[in-house]
Amino acid sequence: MRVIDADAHVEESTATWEHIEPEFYERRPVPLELPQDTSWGEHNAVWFIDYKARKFAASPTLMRRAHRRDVKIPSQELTDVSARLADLDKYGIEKQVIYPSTWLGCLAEDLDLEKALTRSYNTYMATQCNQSGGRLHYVAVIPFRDPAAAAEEIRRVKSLGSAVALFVRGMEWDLPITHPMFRPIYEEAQAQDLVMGLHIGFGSPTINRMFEGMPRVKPDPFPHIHPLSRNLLSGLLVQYAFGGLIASAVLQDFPRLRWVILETGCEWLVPAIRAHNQRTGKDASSYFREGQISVSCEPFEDLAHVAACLGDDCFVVASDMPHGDDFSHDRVEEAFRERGDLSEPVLEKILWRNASRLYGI
Amino acid sequence: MTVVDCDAHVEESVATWSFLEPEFYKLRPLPVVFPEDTCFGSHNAAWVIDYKLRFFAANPTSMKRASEKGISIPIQELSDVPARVAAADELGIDKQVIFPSIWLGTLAENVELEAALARSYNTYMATQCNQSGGRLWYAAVVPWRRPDLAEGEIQRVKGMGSAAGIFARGIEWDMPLTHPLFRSIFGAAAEHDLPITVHVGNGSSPTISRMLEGVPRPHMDDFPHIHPLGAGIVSGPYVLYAFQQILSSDLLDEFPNLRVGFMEAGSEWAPRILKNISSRQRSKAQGWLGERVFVSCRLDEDLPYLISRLGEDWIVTATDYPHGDAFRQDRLADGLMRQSGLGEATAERILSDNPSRLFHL
Repeated sequence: MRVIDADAHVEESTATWEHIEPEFYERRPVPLELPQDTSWGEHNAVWFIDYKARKFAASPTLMRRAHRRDVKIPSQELTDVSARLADLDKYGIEKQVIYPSTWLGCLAEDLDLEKALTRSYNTYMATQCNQSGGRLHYVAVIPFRDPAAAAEEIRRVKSLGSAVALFVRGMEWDLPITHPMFRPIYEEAQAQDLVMGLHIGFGSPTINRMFEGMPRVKPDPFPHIHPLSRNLLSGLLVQYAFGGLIASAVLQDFPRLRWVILETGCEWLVPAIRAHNQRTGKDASSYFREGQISVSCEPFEDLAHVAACLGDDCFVVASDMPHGDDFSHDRVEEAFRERGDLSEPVLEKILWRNASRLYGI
Repeated sequence: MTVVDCDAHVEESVATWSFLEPEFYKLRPLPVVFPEDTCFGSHNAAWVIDYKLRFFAANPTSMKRASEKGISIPIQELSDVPARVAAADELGIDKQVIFPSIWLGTLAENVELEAALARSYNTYMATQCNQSGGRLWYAAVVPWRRPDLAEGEIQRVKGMGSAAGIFARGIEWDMPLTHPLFRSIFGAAAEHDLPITVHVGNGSSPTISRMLEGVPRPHMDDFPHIHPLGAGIVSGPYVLYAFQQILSSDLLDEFPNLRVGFMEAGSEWAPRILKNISSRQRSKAQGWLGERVFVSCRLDEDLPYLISRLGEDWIVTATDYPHGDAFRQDRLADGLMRQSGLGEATAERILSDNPSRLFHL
């Protein structure tokens, strides 16, 4: 069966920043390698960007962890498009929508630098995906703190080709995504028919900073995230964003703008929608049934229970390739088939039809 | 069947602070009233505490909203114990565990003042509840930022009588409950046979609350004391976060007598969060449910579904009386059987057996 992978990733590399304008060249991100016998273990590399060491799960790919994966470095980095396509074939994926990795965090406090980095990233991703014969698409990054520049970048990425969505986290630089200043972004996204990809990420520097200096109580497989901040910093912020979205006017004011919620599962939506409906007297499940909001589901979730609330036209699937965390699935079709409770028509929807309609691919 | 209301409230009053030590008298909380024709509407009063105006839903009771509830002020404030007991009779409640109201927020940055306010509050609550013939109990407040004082206060409240638990919010002053600083507080609670009762708190992370200062309020809200864009980030999710943190930690191993309750955040999220806990810890965490970990449910949740997933031994419930928000639910026994379709045996578990194991009343 066809499979559209609604949420995979690229591991950004020095190639990603090769399109940076000359005036920013000296401030380009620089990967730094660390010894392996530190508390970082195999996460022994960081990005040096805007005067800080920025830490991520498996980027830069200098780190030992990146080399332990089944997906080889050139495919992780998308520097070798044919290698990525070969991985898609290996895992039974026909098309893939690629999200960033380092952009889950905040890369640069300097807004002008951040804007330059977004432009370089988007140009790189468009260049690479355009070589894939329509199999690879990407999610563009935009500078939320400058909505006018973001709108301009949205127009530009649309013209470059291969962009299907815009990356957004549960909070953007400490601001809720329903902040009025973001409206021009949603207006342009709607005009350019690009989806808002609401993905986990660490978009609140202030909440991040709360954990600085707190003792790390145990060794943790992901040292780039403080163990005491797990669950608060990423997944809960997406849930918060969803709650804000359905309580706000954004969905009504931009009725053709589609959203997809990623890497948080879907079961939590049922009580969240029920609470909203009771509070407001309105039925938020209609956004899912009518195709304005989609959500990636996990193979171990109670999909019948969720579908009873949202219908099954909103489910999409994700491999999370090449990430190696709880949400990664090498063989997505297999993972959903072996449940044994999903009919072929439902599988078809979940595995490709819904994502095809969502992303227009 | 003995019906236990696991989470009701008192509206703190001037009487609550009448036990302040003389050296803190001049710093005592002061209620102030303002006109009704402002953006605060009927929430037209606030407390001046530690040089700041502190806003709450229906407190101080000099605000118009408090008198609109249809519950007499002496009952709300617990200044008339026989009247409060009579109100419990009308609700069909045999025993009631009373939580604070304004302690859902942060009352004093000055930790010595906060500790003094906690002592006064606890003495007031013990004095009042001790007059109820065992019908009324309370959750004591402690100064989490001073574990030494908190441990002493736990011992003191146990000695005074009528304390049923120790009040905690999901985040205490920007710190997760699993912060090593707090460990001895959990130990003291376990030693004195008092559960830690994790309750929603509005603004218990001052840092996160401050993030919303100055962000435009998109609409006038029924609860002006909370920024509308903060709904979903400043309170409820902290309880879920604490649940995930505590059950992933070694707290329940280190203190074998420790019990923990999670209040006023619903319960349908529990199966999903348990899945997020590492597989190594998960079976242990599930074993704790109903023995040492309990969650308060809403009557309008899908309780039959929840019970089919995790059983019924870990669920308790509450009226939230006299608060007037979405969690208020009167007539618990009727509600459980009529609204949730549960049988009498299950209702008895939820209303009587499970609370007994949580609170040891």
